[in-house]
Amino acid sequence: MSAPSKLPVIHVRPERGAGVLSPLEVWRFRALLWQMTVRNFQSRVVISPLSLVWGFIRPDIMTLAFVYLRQISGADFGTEVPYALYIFSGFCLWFLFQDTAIQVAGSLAADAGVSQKVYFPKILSPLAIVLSRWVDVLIIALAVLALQLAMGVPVGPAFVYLLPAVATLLLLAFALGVLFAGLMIYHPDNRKFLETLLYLGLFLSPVLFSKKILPEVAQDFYLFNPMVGILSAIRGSMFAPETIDFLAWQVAAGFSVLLSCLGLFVLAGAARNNAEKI
Amino acid sequence: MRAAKLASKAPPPVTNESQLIAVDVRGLSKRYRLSSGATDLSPTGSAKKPKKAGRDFWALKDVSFTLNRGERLAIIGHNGAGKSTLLKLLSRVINPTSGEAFLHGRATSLLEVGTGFNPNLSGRQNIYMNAALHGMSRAEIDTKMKAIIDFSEIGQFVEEPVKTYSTGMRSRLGFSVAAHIDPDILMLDEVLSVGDASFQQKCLSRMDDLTGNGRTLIFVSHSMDSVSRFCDRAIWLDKGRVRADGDVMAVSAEYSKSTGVKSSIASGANRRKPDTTQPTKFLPAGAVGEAELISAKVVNSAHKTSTVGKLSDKVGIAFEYAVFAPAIYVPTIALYGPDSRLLFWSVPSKNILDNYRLAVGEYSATVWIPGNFLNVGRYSVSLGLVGPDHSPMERYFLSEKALSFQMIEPLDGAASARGILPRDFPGPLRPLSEWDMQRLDEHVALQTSSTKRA
Repeated sequence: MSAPSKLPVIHVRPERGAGVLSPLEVWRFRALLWQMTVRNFQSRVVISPLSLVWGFIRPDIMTLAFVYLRQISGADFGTEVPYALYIFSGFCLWFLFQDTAIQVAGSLAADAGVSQKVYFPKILSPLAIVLSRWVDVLIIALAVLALQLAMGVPVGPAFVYLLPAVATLLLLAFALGVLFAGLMIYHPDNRKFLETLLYLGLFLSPVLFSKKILPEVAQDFYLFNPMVGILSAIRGSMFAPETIDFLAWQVAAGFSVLLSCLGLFVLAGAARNNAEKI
Repeated sequence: MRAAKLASKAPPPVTNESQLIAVDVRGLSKRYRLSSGATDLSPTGSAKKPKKAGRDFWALKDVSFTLNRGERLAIIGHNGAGKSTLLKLLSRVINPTSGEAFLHGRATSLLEVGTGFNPNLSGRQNIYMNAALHGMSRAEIDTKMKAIIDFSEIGQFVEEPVKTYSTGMRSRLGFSVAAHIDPDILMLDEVLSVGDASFQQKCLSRMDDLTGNGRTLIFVSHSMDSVSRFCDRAIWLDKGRVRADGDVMAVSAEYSKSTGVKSSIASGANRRKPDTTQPTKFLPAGAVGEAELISAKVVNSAHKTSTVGKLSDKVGIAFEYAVFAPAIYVPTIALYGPDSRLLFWSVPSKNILDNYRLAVGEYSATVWIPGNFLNVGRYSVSLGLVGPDHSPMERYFLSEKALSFQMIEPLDGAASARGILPRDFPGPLRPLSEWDMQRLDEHVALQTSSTKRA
């Protein structure tokens, strides 16, 4: 035991503001954050050994279906790279985004059994989900790169932007998930709303088509869909023929940061006042 | 008690006095709002008043106390008294509505054994997760890993998924992790009853180690026996408020009274009194007498009324009665065990009839149940006065289960029938029996050892 004068002091009091999400607390519990990240990854692999490759098997199936539909319809989706590569990358990223957001939203409920018995900063649960998804990012990147090289699409110098672009995608998924994690504490039905929103988002985002097929006026407004900038940044950093829309990416990054703040604010309030409801 | 709301945000200044304080609780309160129906609890953790109309329920109200370093505090009370709420607040699992508390040192709470176990992961993987939850770093876990596995006795199964473990194995693993936490302040909520008998003994020994060495303990329990074993001070919570705070034996005794333990009874001031002015004329055996109970009480070895008795001490049942007609009277008691089953009847053992031939007047009788005879638990007593010279036997009065008392076994170093075994002995009796043990083949053993030496 330490000397009395050097002992840490824990102050128990009614929480106000975003105190429950203090970065200092996260730092203090960094060992637990790491363990939760490892646990999330390990439990996924143990329960479903194929869960890692599922990240590109599902997009594979969807890609086959949409490529066939395009062939029989003869539609032009305005892509600079082969359509199969375009939508394969789109589906991979969309499913990564969608699964992460849903898991983050449900992370507090998943850890409820623990959080009602042991104290730890509530933000650790969603953070651990996002951190554990980086393994999926690596696998997806390798799968897309393999298809890209097989189709003869070169990798350009913008490759250096890949990491921050993927980070923006995960930040947006975190922000949306955290917002709904907070809302779900008040009303569990918000999960259905999130799922519907994400399903709709698949068709409103440039996953299946390029924004170039839209009228110019619409393209300006389209920037406000954060997935436009993020998908453009990731595809542009991987496929040489595609260009990064930096303005759209900046909008997306700014939006993700703002949404994160809003999400954390909502989560802090919900966790502060409804700890027992989680 | 101090005011419920205190504005101060900074910890109290460090002085020589405050360096001795481990836990400082100031007006801690927790409010829930009953939104609809009596059982629907809607928590309102913030200090703000709830916006919607609803009835407030204070699970904890204005609780204040300080705990010095090395003190071992028991929190006792009925179900719903606020014991677990207090522990959850101090553990920061939930937020207080008002008030504050300062915990000086590394604090760990054990509200449940095996919290956070993932059934799909191996024992080893779960040790990492569970230990991290209790604030251990990766390096610390690696250092203690072997000790944790050894203590849990799960051996080679540590690499198997926890879902393949028996309930006992899971509990042992959970407790083993908990047993290797090294906090300054340890908060426990009824987590000691895990595993089989021999593992329980290990747990209890480990708890003794943990709660020794100047560590501060806060222990919530319904078991007066556990409380008296681990704690030297107790707080009795009643409807969210502190009802008593003090020495564990004194508070336990007070609490026992509230749980229906009745250590004394007495008839009212207007009771009928025997007329002792008339000369007594003894009648031959078979005369019908008349008597009433005046009072009765459970007493300890110091002849003081007590609701709680130590296993090693004798317990007395003292009662007074009024005799209104000369006859033969034999006082008697019946003792019932914790399961309400009759254990024995007892009457005075002298077999001289004149000892029981009583004139009109008031009498007392005390029967002593020897120490190291009963087990831990609650016992009740029936009292009676009978006339054995009648057939069927005359009952002048019989007061069924009029008194009760709680037997506990504090760690006071007294000789104990439990030997080296855990104390949860089955059955209502636990006599300190005399045992003789010796080796039968001692000459063979001696020969073997001397041959080896040669």
